[in-house]
Amino acid sequence: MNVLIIVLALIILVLIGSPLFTIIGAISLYGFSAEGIDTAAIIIELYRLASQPVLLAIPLFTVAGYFLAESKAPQRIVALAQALIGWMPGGLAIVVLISCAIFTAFTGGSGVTIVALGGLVFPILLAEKYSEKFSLGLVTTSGSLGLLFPPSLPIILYGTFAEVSIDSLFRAGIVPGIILMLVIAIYSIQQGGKAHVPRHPFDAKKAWKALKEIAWEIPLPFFIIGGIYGGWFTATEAAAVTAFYVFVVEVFIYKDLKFFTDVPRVMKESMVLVGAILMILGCAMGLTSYLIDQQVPQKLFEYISQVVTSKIFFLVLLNIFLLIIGMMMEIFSAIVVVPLIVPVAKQYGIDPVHLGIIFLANLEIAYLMPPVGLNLFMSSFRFKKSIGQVAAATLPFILVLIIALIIITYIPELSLWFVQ
Amino acid sequence: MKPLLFIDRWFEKISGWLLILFLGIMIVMSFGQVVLRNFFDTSIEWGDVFLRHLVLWVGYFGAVIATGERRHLKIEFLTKLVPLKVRKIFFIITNLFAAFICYLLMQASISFVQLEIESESTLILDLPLWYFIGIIPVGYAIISFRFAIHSLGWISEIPKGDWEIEEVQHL
Repeated sequence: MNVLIIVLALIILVLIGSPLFTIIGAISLYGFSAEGIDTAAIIIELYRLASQPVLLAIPLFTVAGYFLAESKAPQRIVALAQALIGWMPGGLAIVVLISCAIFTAFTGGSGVTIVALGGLVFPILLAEKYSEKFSLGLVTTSGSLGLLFPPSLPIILYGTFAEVSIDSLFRAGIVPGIILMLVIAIYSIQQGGKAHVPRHPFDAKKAWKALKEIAWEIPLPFFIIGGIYGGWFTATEAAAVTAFYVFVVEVFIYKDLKFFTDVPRVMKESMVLVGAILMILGCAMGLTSYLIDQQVPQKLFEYISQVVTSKIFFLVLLNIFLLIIGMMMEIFSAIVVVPLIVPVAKQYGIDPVHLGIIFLANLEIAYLMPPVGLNLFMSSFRFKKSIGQVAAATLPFILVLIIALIIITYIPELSLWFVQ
Repeated sequence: MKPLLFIDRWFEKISGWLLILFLGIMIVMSFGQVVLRNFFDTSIEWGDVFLRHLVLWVGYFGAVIATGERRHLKIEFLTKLVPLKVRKIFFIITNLFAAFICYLLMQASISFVQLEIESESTLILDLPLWYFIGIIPVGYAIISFRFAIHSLGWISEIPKGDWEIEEVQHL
């Protein structure tokens, strides 16, 4: 009875907008006290974060992403992509897709892409005679594509929580990440053809000029991806190099950011996000150790396995569950369910690395899910359209992405091939 | 109320300054470590441990600022649907709750830090461990204080009937 009241109260508190870390903290505090364990145990678990080398990658990649977002890098990426692939049928749509994916990989998603890049490419799409509905849908969708590519922060967080190597996750994400983009690209080419969007011939001069403009940022994806895949760097070292390099390039070479005004502001801005994430991570570490102590994952499996006997059925349920969770929460909060699903999925023979890819692919799509996916709100806010309009425009993209999701979920080799 | 709000604002300012300082050190030093390791086959021995603890500090300062700017991660779709008046009541309730939980977390971290002080454990350069983890209780204390002050600030406005202040729009 007592427990029931507490659960009810916490659900209400979540729904009326309590910071999620306070809810997770409350459950951990209650759990440990009920077992008669000193609540210092929560902080001991939190402090374990400081023993994980990858912890350092979180603020470094975040600040690098924010520096890039606040500079003129978005304009430069779009200009280059347009010069290189604008001639293709549906070329501009693919430009949007690729620019957004690169950008999201660096900034970790959660709507930053829509604000920074969406506003830039949306008018260009309209000027090129793409329909408003298609353009709106594309920009909203592109806001979360790219989460599977390095140096995406959600991948790092999943790895921290599932205790899986970040480098393997980065390797595993490449093919599924490309598949998600490919299906949208195909759909865009088809739509571009239908709308008779004008095509521009390839202009070598323009391409060269765009390339020169972005010359200092071009090496970034290469040394991060190359460095990690080539085994020269760990993810944390890549983060250190990226943060320092981006800072020097944006402040002293491009001079997009002013040292005394922009730099402190952007630093603070980015660390507010890191602080918010750290609060959740800290409390979630405590909760996880409590749940494992109580053998909750084990009990959960015993309970589920009575109903769910096949792996396929479990994966279907997992997809639905993650889409709902991801729609309601941000990726950084949804990470809390990882310690629960990893052991259960293991019992069904699902590799934790593959599970990570499934997890992130689902959350990527969940951002778009009506009625309350985060990207819908961001887009509605940014482009001054109603949520209904945005949701209707995004729906065909969701359907296409779900096809890709099914492929990624049911063919584990796509994720695991590069890892083994 | 005024002196409390004054203290509150200073917590935010100081956190901001220290955050920028520490993050700056973090960016430069972590890059330096990579350079030393890859080109000179050496590195500052205590560097990596120190940097990871710096993340804790920067994180808590960031969280202190997040508290004031209401940027902690939360589920927002329901609060966006209700009228401003209700939103403000939600805000007061959730902030008081958050202040209470952070107070408990502060107590928990005090007893954790006490354990480490008693065991006289050291981290790097023979410095006591608690120098580095002291930020945990301090962080929760400031965050708890800020949550409490902000909800009290709004409660004190109820008699004025001043519901429509601009700030509410950003909740």
